[in-house]
Amino acid sequence: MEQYKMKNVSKVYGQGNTKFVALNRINLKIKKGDFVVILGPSGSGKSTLLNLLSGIDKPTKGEIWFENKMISKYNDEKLRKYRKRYISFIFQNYHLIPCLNVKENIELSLKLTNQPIFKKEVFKLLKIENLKNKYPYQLSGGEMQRVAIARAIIKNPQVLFCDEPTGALDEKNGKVVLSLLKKINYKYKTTIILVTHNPSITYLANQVIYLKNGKIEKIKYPIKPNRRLA
Amino acid sequence: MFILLLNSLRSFFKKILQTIGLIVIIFIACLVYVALTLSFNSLEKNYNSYLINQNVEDLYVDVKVDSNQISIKDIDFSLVDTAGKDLIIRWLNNKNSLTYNELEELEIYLNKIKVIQNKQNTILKNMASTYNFIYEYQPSKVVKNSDKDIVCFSYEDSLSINKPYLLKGHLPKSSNEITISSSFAKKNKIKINDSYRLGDKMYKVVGYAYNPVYIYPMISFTNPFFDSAKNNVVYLTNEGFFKIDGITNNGYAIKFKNYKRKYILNSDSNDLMASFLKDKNIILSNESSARFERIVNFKNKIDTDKQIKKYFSYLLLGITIFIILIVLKKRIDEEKQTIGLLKILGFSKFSIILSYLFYPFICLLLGGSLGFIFGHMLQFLIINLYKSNFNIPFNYFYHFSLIKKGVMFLIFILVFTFLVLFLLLRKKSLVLLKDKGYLKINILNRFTNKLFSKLPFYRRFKLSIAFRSVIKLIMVSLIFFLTSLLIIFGMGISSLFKKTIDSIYKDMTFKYLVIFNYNVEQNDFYKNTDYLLSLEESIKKIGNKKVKEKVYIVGIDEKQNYFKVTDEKLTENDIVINDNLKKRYGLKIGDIVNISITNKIYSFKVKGFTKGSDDYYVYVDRYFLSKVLGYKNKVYNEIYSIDKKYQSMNNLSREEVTKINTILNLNDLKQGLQKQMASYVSIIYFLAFLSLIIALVIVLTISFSIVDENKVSISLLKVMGYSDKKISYLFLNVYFPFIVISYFLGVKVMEVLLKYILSILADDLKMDLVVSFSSFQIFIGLLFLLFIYNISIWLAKKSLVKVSLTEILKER
Ligand SMILES: Nc1ncnc2c1ncn2[C@@H]1O[C@H](COP(=O)(O)OP(=O)(O)O)[C@@H](O)[C@H]1O
Ligand SMILES: [Mg+2]
Repeated sequence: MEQYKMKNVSKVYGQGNTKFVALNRINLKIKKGDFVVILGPSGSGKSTLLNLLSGIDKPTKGEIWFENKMISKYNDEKLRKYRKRYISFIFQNYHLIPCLNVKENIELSLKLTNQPIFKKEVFKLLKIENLKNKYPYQLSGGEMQRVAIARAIIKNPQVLFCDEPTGALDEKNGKVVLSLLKKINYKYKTTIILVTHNPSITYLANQVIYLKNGKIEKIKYPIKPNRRLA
Repeated sequence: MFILLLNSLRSFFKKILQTIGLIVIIFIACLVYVALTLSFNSLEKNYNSYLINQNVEDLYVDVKVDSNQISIKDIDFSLVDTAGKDLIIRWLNNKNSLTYNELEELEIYLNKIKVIQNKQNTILKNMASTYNFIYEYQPSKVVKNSDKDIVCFSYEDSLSINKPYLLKGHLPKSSNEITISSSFAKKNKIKINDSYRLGDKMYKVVGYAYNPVYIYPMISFTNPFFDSAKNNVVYLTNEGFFKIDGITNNGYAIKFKNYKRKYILNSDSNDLMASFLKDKNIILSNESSARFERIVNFKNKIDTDKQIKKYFSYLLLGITIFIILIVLKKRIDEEKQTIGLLKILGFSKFSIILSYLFYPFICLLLGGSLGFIFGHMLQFLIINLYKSNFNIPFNYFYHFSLIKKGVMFLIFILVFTFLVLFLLLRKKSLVLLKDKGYLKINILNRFTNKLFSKLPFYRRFKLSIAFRSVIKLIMVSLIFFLTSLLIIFGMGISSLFKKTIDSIYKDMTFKYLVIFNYNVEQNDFYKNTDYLLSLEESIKKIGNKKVKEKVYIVGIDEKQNYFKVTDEKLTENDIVINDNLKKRYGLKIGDIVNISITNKIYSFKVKGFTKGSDDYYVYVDRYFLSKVLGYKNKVYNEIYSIDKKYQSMNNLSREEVTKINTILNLNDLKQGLQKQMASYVSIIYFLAFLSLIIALVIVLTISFSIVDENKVSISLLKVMGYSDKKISYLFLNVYFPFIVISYFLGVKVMEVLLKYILSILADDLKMDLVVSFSSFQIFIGLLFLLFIYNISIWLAKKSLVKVSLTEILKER
C-alpha cells in the first residue's frame, strides 16, 4: 500500500520575472517502510521535494496524498499536527539546541508523542549512553548526528526525512550514520526518505528517485535491500 | 572601503524594526537630556536675573524695641488726642501701671504716631553701615473675603527692594486702584478695569503684577498651601494700604550689598547674615521664614531636580550604550563569516570596524538630531510646568553649546563601541570563518541547568534560554527592579500621605483655627468655640531624670467640644501627655514631670494620655496656666471654632482683626495638603511610568535578539510540530520568574528603605510615621509589571511567527 502519492506536483518560487520552477509535474509513489533515496545535483529541487512531502511547504499545483489524506490541501495548523504526529527530520547540520544537553535535546522530541520508543533502547542503538549529559559543543560531528537521529526516532515516527544527513561528516562517520538509518528502517519499519547528491548512497534504497532541473529523470527499484546490513 | 560601507548599510534596512528601536532609544535619551538641560538652564537664568532686577531681599526681619528705650522725647504729642496723651504719660511714668486693656489701647496709639517704627528705623540705620545693607519697611495685611485670602502690600513700600513686576496694565495711582495676581485674575475671570471688593470697599483693578516675595506662592508655614483661585496678592498705594483693615505683619526687608545670596536661613554660621541675625534687636518672625522659603524654594527645587536629571540622564546613557552593544554584537555574530572572509580578502581590521561603526553612527545621528529638535519643543512643556508653580516671568534661551555636548556624546559612544568591536573582532580570520561559537554556552548555564535538573522539562528549557545570556538577564531584572522600586515608593508614599492626613484630621471636628497675636483676656464665651492657651516651654525633669526637651504646653478647659483631650477635670498639678512624648520617655500614669514656665519650674503628675503623634504636647488646666502667667482671669491665644463668622474678615470687628494673627480654615488646609501630596505622588508614578516604558523597550529589544539568535532552533521546533504559542512560551516568556523575583526584591528593599527614611524623618519631625502595603496593592503592582512584560512578549511574538520553517535548511 502506498504511503505517499504525488500527482502532477509543481512548485514555483517567486513571481513574474523572478518566477522559478523548482519542481515540475512530479508524479511518484512511496510505500510504507520503504527506504527512498532522492538523488540529484545541487539545485535540482531535492530539498523542495522533501519539504513538500514533509509538510514544511505547500505545492503550487498538484496533489500530495499521505495515506488517505490529501495533505496538499492542509492549512498550516493541520500541517503542523501532521508533522508532529507522523514525521521526524535529520539535517545536514544536526541542529541540536546549544544550551540543552544531549538528554534534553532528545526530550524535546519526546514531549511530542504518547508512544515513544523506550529511551534506553534508543540510547543503546545509537551508542550515545555515555554522552547523555554532554552539551552539543562538547560533541564531534558524528556524535551530534547520532544524537540528532536519536531525537528523530524516539517519538517513533512513521516517516523519517533526512536532508543530506552525511553531508557534513567524513566517510567513516557517514557510513555509521547510514547503517544506523538502515537499522532503524528495518527494526521499526520507519519509512526513510533521504536526500543526497552522493550516488554511492543508493545501495541502501529500495527506491531511488533521480531528480534533475525539477523533473524526475528516472526511478529505479534496486533488488531487495542487502539483508546483511540489517 | 565603499563595499564595506555598503555591507554595513545593508543591515540598516534589513533589520528595520531593530534599527527603529535603536533610533527610538537614542531619541528618548537625547530628548530627555536636551529638554531637561535646556529648561533647567533657562529656569536658573530667569530666576537669577529676576532676583537681580527686582532687587529681592536677602532677609525679612522684625526689630525689637524695648519699652525702656522709649522716652518722652520720642513722642510727638500733637498727633494724639488728650485721652491718648494721658495714657502715654501715665505709662511713661510707670511702665507697669497699665491694665491689660489699657496696654492694648496704648499700642494702638503708639502705632498711630509711629513711635515704635521710628525707633526701629534708628536701630536699623545704625546697623546698616556696619553690615552694609539697605532696608525698607514693608508691612503687609491679610484680608479675608468669604473663602478668599488676600495679602495686601503698598507698592510705595517696595521702591528699592522687592520691586513689583508689572505684567499688564499699570501700578495703582490712587487709593481706590489695585493690581492683583494674574493667576488669581485668570481663575476668577477678573479683567483689568473690573471692580473688585476688598473688605468693605470696592477697588478698580488696573493691572496684574508679581510680588517678588511670592516667587513660590505659599502663605505661611502653618498654612503652606497656596490656591491661586483663593489666594490673591494685591498692591495698593500707601494711602489705600493705610485705610484697609486686615491682619497686619510688620517687618523690614533687608538687602545686603556685595553679598552672595544664601539659600538656607541659618544663624549658626560665620557669615555676614548670621552675625547680623545674632544682634539682640533683630527678630526672625514666622513671616521671615515664610518669605525666605518663598524666595529660595525655586532654587532648592531646581537643585534637587537637577540631581534627578543627572542620574536619569546617566541611566538613559547606560541603557543606550547597552542596547547599541547588544545590537552590534548580534550583527557581528551573524556576520562572523563575512568578516572572516573580508579579512582574508585583505581588508584591515581597522577599516572593517570603522564600517561597522557606520551603522550606530547613522542611528545616533538620526535619533540624536530628532531628540535635539524635539528636546527644544519639550523644553517649553517643562518650563510651563514650573511656570504654573512659580511666579517668575520667563524668557527662553537657546544654548548652542549643547550641540558641542551632543557631538561629544556622539564621539564618546562611537569610541566606546569602537573599543568593544575591537575586542570582539580580535580573533584570527580563519577562526571566524569556521566559527562554532553559536554552540558555546557559559558556565552559569551549565551550572543552572544542573541546579534545576529536577524541574519539569519546559521550565528547565526556559531557564536555559534565560541563562544563556547573563547580561540580558541582569538588564531585564535590573530595569524591573528599578521600576518596582518606583511603583512601591509611589504606593508607600501615597498610603503614608493618606494615613498622615487622616490621622491629622481624624479628631478635628472644628472648622476654623484662629491664632492670636497675644494672650487675650476672656470676657465672653461662645458655646461653639473652644478656647486654648498655648505656649512653647521646656521639660526639665521627668521623675528623677534630668531632661531638656522642647514642649508645647496647652491650657484647656474642663469641657472641650472640638479639641478633645480628656473627660476628666484637671486640677492644678494634673497633666495630660500626648502619645509621642509618652513613647519617647516611657511615661506612666502618676509619673512626675517638671516643666519650666516663664523661668519658674512647676511640677505635674501625669493624669492621662491623649493621641498625637507629632511633636510633644502636654495639657494642663487653662485657669491654672493663666494664673502662672500672671493674669487674674482666664486668657487664651487660640480658638477652635465652628462659628461661620471666621469664614470672612468682614464679619469681624476692627478690634478683633487687629488681635488676630492667622485664621486657618481646616477644609482648605486639608484640601491643599491632599492636592500637594497628590502632586508628589503623581511625579513618582510618572517616573515609574517612564521606567515601565524603558522596561518595555528593553524587553522588546532583548526578545527580538533572542528570536534572532535562536532562529534555527525556533525553526527546528516549528518543523518538529511545536505550535507558535508553545515556542513563544519557551523562548520569549523566559524572564517571568526573574521579574517576579525582582519585583518582590524591590518591594522588600523599598520597604526597608522607606522604614529607614521614615525613621530619620520621624525623629526630625517628632512624628510617628509608618508605611505598610496591603497585599492587594502589592498584587496590583505585580500585575502591572507582568502586563507590560506580556505586551512586549506579544509584540516580539510577531517576529517569532515570521521565522520561516525552511530557515533550518539554510546552510550555515
Ligand atoms: N525559497 C526559495 N525561493 C526561491 N528559490 C528557491 C527557494 N528555495 C529553493 N529555491 C530554488 O529552487 C531550486 C531548488 O532548490 P533545492 O530544492 O534547495 O535544491 P537542492 O536541495 O536539490 O539543492 C534552487 O535553484 C533554488 O535556488
Ligand atoms: Mg538541498
